[in-house]
Amino acid sequence: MIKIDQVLKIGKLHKMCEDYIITGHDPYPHIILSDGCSSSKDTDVGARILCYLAKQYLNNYAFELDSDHLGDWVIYNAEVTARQLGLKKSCLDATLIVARVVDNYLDVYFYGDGFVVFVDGVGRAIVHEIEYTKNAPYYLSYNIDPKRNDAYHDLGIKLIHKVSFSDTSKSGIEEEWAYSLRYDIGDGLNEYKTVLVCSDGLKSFYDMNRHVMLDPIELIWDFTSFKTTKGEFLKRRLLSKKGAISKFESYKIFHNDDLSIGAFYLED
Amino acid sequence: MPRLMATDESMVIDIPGPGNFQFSAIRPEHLGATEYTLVTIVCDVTGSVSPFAKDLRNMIVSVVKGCQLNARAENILVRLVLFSTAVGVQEVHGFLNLSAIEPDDYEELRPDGATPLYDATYSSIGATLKYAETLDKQDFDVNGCVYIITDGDDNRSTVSPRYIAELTQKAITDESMQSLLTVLIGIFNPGDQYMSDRLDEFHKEAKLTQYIPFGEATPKKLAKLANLISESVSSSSQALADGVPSQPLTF
Repeated sequence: MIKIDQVLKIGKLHKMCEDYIITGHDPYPHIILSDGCSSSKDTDVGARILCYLAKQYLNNYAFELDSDHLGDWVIYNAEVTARQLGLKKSCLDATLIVARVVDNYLDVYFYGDGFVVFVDGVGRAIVHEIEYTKNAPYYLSYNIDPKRNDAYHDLGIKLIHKVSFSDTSKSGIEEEWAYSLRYDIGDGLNEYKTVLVCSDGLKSFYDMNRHVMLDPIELIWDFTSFKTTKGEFLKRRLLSKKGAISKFESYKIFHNDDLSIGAFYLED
Repeated sequence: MPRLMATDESMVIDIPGPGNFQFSAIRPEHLGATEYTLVTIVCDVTGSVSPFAKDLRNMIVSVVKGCQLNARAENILVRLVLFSTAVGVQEVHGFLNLSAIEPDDYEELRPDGATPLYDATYSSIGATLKYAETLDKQDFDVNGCVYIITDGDDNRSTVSPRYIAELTQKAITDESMQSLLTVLIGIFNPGDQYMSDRLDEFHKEAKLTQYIPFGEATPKKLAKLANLISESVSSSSQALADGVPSQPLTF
C-alpha cells in the first residue's frame, strides 16, 4: 500500500509562494509539483496551471504516458489557459516534476530542476538531484516562445544529474533538457520505504549561525522519521510545532526558497 | 467503576497521581490530521439533576452534534464523562473522532448519588494532559477544552482542589499543549448565592480558567448552553489552527 502526503511552504525571503504541488491516488499514486521563476510575473498562478494540467494529462492518458507528449500537451494547453486568464506566457516560467507509481516502478519526469530522495528505515538516503549549469533551469515555456528557446540554447546550459549517498556523491552531465528517471521499487529499492519528490527549495536551507547552506542529506533523517504514517504524516513531521522545520528554525536554519515536497510511503 | 479495556482502535491509559483513574482514547496511529482539539464534557448525574435529566442529555447530544457540523470536525476529538457516587467517574466514551460518535445513541441519564465533583474534574483534566503528551510525542499539535457541568458543590471526592491546581498549572508550563481551557458551569437557582460562592471558590482554588454561574437548568437555558459550548469548541479549534491560545466563553 502506498501512502502519500505533501507539504507546501513559502520561503523566508519570498512574499508569495511560487511553488505548487498536488498529490493523489487516482489513476495511480502520483506527485506533481511546479516551482515558478521568481523573476517572472504571476508564476504562482503559472505553477498551478502546470500542475492541474499535468494532472489532467494523467487522467486522460494514464497508461499511455509519454514524457515528450506530456510536456507538449501541458505547455500548449497552459498557453491557452494563461491567455484566457489574461496572463503573459512568461507566467508559465516554472519547472514541472511528475512522479507516478505504476506496478512496481516509480517514474519521475523532470521538466526543470528538483530532487528525488530515497530513504530507508534507518535514515540511509540516496539523493538524486537534477540541476542546470548557470543556475538556469529548463522551463517548458521555452517551447512556446522560439526566441527565448533559441536564447536558452545559445547559453550552452547543461543538465546535471547528481546522485548522493550518505557519504559520497557522483554527478554526470546529460544532453537532454527534460529528464526521466525510472526506479524499480519492487525489487532493487525495496528497503527504501520513503520516497520524496521535491523542488529545489530543498537545497535552500541556510544556517544563519554558521553562514552555510545545508546539504539536503543533512535534513533527510529529520524530514522522514515519521512517528505515524496515517493521513497527513509528512505535514505532521515537518510542520507541527515540534516538527523538523520548527526544530531547524529554532537553530536559526531557514529555507530561503519556497519548499514543495511530496512523499510516497511504501507500506508493507 | 469497571476498568476500561483496550482494543485495536483504542488504548487505555492510567492517569498519573491520586485516585487510580483511567481513560481511553483512539490510538495515534489511527489519527490522520496534523492537529487536534481534545474536548471533554463532564456532566453531573447526581440525584439532584433528576428533574432535568432529559434536558441535560439533550444538551450533551446538541453539543456533540454541533461539533460534528463544525468545519474543523476532523480536528476535534470528544470524550464524555458522567459523575456521581452511584457511577463514580464514568467514561461513556473516550477521546474519539466525531465521525465515530452517534450522539442519538447516548443512553438516558440515571441520576443518583452524591457529588464527586473534584474527582471528575481532576481525572478529566488529567486525561486531557496525558493524551496531549502522547499525541505531542507523535508530532500532533494539540489544545484542549474541558467543560464541567454541575448543579452542586463537591461532597464526596478523594482528591482535593490543590491537586487539580497542580494539573492546570502543569498545562501552562508543559509544552505538549498549545493551551487548555477549563470551564466550570454551574446550573442551579440563581438565587442560591451560597452555591455560587462555593463553586467560585472551587474554580479559584483549582485554578480553572473560568467559572460560569449559568442559572437554572431549564430546557431553553440548556439549549443555549449547548450552543455556547459548541461555539467555544469551534473557537478553540480555530485557535489551534491560528497558533493562539483558546479564549474563555463569553455569554
